Amino acid sequence: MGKLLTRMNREKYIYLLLLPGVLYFIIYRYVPMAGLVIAFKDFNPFTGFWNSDWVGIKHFTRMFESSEVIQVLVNTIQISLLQIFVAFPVSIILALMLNELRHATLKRFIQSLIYLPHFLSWVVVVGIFVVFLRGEGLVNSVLANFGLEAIPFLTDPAYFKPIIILQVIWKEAGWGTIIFLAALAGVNPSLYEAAVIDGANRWRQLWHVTLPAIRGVIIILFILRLGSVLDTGFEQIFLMLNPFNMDSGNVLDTYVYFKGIQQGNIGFATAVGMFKGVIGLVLVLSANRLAKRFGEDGLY
Amino acid sequence: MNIRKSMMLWVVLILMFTAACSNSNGTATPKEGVDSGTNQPSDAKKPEETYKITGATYIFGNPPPKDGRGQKMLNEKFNVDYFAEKIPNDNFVEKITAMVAGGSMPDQISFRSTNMDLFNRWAEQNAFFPLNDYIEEFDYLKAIPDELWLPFTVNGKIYGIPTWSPVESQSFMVRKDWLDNLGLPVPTSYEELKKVAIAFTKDDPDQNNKQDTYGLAIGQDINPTFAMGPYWQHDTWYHQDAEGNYIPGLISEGRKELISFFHDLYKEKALTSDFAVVNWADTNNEFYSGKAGVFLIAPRGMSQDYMEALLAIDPKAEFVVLEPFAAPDGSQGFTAGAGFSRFLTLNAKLANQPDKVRKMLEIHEFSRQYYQASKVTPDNKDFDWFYGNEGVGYNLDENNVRVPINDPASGTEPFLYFIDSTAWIGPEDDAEYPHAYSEPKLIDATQQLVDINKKYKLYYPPHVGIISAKETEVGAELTQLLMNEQTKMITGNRPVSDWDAMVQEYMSRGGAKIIEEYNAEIKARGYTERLWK
Amino acid sequence: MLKRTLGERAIDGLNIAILIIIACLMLLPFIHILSVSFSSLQDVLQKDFILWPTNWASDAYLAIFASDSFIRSIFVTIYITVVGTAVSLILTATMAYGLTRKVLGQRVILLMVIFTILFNAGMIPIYLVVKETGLMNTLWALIIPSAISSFNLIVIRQFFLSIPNELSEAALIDGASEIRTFWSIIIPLSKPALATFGLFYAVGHWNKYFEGILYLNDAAKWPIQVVLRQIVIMNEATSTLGSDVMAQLENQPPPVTIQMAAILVATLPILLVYPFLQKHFAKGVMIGSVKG
Repeated sequence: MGKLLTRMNREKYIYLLLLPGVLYFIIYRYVPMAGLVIAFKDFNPFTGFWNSDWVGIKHFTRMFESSEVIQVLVNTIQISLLQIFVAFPVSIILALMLNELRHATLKRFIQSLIYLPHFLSWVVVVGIFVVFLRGEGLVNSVLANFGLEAIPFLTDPAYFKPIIILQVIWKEAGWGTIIFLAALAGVNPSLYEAAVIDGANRWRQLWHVTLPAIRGVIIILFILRLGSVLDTGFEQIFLMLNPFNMDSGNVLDTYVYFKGIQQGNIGFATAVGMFKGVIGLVLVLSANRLAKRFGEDGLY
Repeated sequence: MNIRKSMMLWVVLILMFTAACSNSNGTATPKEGVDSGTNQPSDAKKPEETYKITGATYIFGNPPPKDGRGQKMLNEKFNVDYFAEKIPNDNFVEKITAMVAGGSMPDQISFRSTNMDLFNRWAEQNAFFPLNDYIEEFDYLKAIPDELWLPFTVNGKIYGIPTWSPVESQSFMVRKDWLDNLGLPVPTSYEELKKVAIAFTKDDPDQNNKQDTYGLAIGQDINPTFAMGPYWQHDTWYHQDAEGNYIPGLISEGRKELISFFHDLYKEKALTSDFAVVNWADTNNEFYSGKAGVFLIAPRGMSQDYMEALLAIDPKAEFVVLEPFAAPDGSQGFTAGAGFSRFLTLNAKLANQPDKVRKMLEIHEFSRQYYQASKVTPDNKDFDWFYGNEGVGYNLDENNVRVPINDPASGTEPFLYFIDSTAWIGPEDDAEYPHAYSEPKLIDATQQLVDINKKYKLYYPPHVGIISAKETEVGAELTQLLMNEQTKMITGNRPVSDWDAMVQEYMSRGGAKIIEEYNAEIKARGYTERLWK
Repeated sequence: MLKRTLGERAIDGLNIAILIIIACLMLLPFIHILSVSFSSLQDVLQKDFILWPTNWASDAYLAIFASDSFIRSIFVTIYITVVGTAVSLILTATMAYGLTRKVLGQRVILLMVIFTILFNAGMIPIYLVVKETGLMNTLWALIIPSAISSFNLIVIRQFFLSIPNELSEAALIDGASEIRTFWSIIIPLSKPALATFGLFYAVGHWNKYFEGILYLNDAAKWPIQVVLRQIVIMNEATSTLGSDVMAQLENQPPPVTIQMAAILVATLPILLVYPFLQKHFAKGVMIGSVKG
């Protein structure tokens, strides 16, 4: 006990540093979590969280009651995996390409341009894509000039997922580079000098100096992204859905929206969030364990 | 040194935080967060108590700041401490629910007509103040027709005051100049409309020798409806099944006819191509850019900016508004609007404050007065005050129409601060819809629509204000399902002959229950024969 | 620098070419929005896609700047962004550093933080806490409840961990306290990371709208994004299946030219932050401070 106290005394400044943040998390994140109880209740604003009627797992069964839900989960995971394994690496590659640029002004200039689309809302982005990809849109006009047949980009279900990923890349890839560029800025230039003296060419420098320097950040981001594997982004997909691609494009977020989130059913919305959280938690914990087994720091 | 440095950091942070808290408590006006049931003890010296009246409603666009000139004028005139919070429409329900859950339900809420299910749920919780005893006391409440009280009556108690909205129907306008160029008559049936739409697509109606025009501008979710009477309208209850039960338009015979009409036009490219992916704003663009020849016109709310743009693109453009088509069952006319666009409820906790209730209704009555433009002068004191005094808040133009001087965000005019400034336009009053515009061709088209509405009787559907438990649960999902399947039928991805299978699916997934619940309520209301008036 | 081979130069050239093409593709929509905002409505309606205005018109901007609410809300947002970013960065950096030290309870706190990434308490419970802590109707309601992003906290901690241990250990052995070490070793070495997360927080604060609607009742305090949303059709995503045509008509948004001008004016200030932060991303930060 005394030992513990001495240790805590020695570390008191660290506790001082932690205190405000911990208070914040308790007050604004954990106290409200008590409200998760309404996933099992019929929320009634007049009686409040504690006195609303219990409904057991009604909200959870509602999520799974229809046969579409299997297809919906498959779509969700497919789009999510495409985002993780296609869109996410694009940011890394883009950051590495920028890192290789020797011309400092050009580098800054391009950096400041590629993060622009991040600031546009999905309504605007989807609007622009529709102008380009409609049956009589700009892309198809070009195709027609070459005597090619129009491609139904927006209504043929086969194009749905590729276009969704393309939009995500276009909107977020540039923004995604910022975090990696920050990591690359921390690389000690003497490491490169040493590599050059060892006779390493550009590829080997990239492989042995640059990538290891950002590996930690990549792994952290990857694990965190796994936690939201059932979140595909609502607005973009909702705006891109139409009667023809509904079967291959309906994801969990849009499915539960049609199922009643739009009617303000708070209990149902909470249950859906909880389901997504549990799946995410399992994935994060397993990915973290895996990362540690391979000698990485992991999340904690 | 280090400790001091870090301690100072935290002291500053904590100070900032407490400043935030005390700031909120110190400067907060007494309006917020105070339970509406509690009231300050009255001051014996004053002849009348200064009531604090809280309220909340939705808004499109940006409201004025809390402390504008208009707000002060309002509080002075009525000797109240009045505040009506304006919540952005998209998040209105979320915020109002949070306010109630936080124990600060305001004294009055003005809901949107689309919030009926919320109203019903809350009425069942006895959240609202019953108004039955007050209706006789106020002329403006007596003037409200009986059928409009119906949706707000729960277990015999009236909990809501409807706010006027036009019962006059929308219709569709056709490019008259194109009809004249092609020598076609104004269509009076879907057969004729189909011919017109196809001719607009193939016969170069604007005579520019280019294939750059077509018939009907339509967008996703088959919007606008192009229903030329309740027989074809999807969002009304007109048709009856074999047992005499009313059924929703979306699964009716009339809708099926309309869908095959669209399908025929789609094949001829006389509809907006790719309409299933075109949003509402772009649907408008199809017409106002001079590409499509037929589009929606409503008694109010048309965009003069877009009309002016169309006339800049094509100065020769002329418009004719379509009259309702004769339906196969012999009926001819449009569907009446619900008659209300918003409604006001009072907090149940006002039960022991009848004088405060009277004060609130007095203010509500005042803000709902209708000032006909032809009769208005700055000498009309109420009018002049309401709109912030001539020369400060407004000027009158040559037609005696009020022109505001300032942007609403300046808060100059008192009318901006009432919870509900929608005038009640009685059946005998002229609503003066064309007065909203200055563009002559838009005025003319609006006048045509008003005249058509006067010429025909309106259908008053039986379903207005009915809430079905099943519909609240699965209604949106089923509507989406039907819209999707019908869109596929228009494009030919699914044959129209599948109609019965589609209706069957609707029925089995809860539609039958919805129809049953609606009809029980329709019968209870005593609505049997279709009502036209 | 050693002489570069021909092959390396070719790769460099290709790299530059690809990056320039990508940059152009990403600039395109902004030029489009800019051009629409400076065009007349009939030009916008007539053309499929505007890349440069044919007839310059500034009506849209006059309309925006004629309204008090737009300017007022930009100042509100600048205030929230500056104060909010400072508060967020201080809270996040101190906590993240604390979490790099293996003290008693560190693992529990980390797990607690990760948990909040996965589970969100929901709007109404948070509303109640904001109300109980007295933040309602103050701009602090837009700053304090979202002060620390769990995601940023985790990643910034990772950045701190990547700083070689020897540096801080040496300082500690020299008798510096933990706080002193944090202040004079860790912070200077983490400038790129702090700039990055400062930017993330700034953009997050700049884009706040839902909190503004939920926690403020005075339109004079509304941040720019709320005012913008009331101008631009953002409710497209929640359209009511065409049954609400009357409401759609009665609440016509302003012409698309004004909408685009509003988007541009509301976005431009935050876009300018990044170019100013870029100098902190320069290489050699670490070596410089170690030597210094």
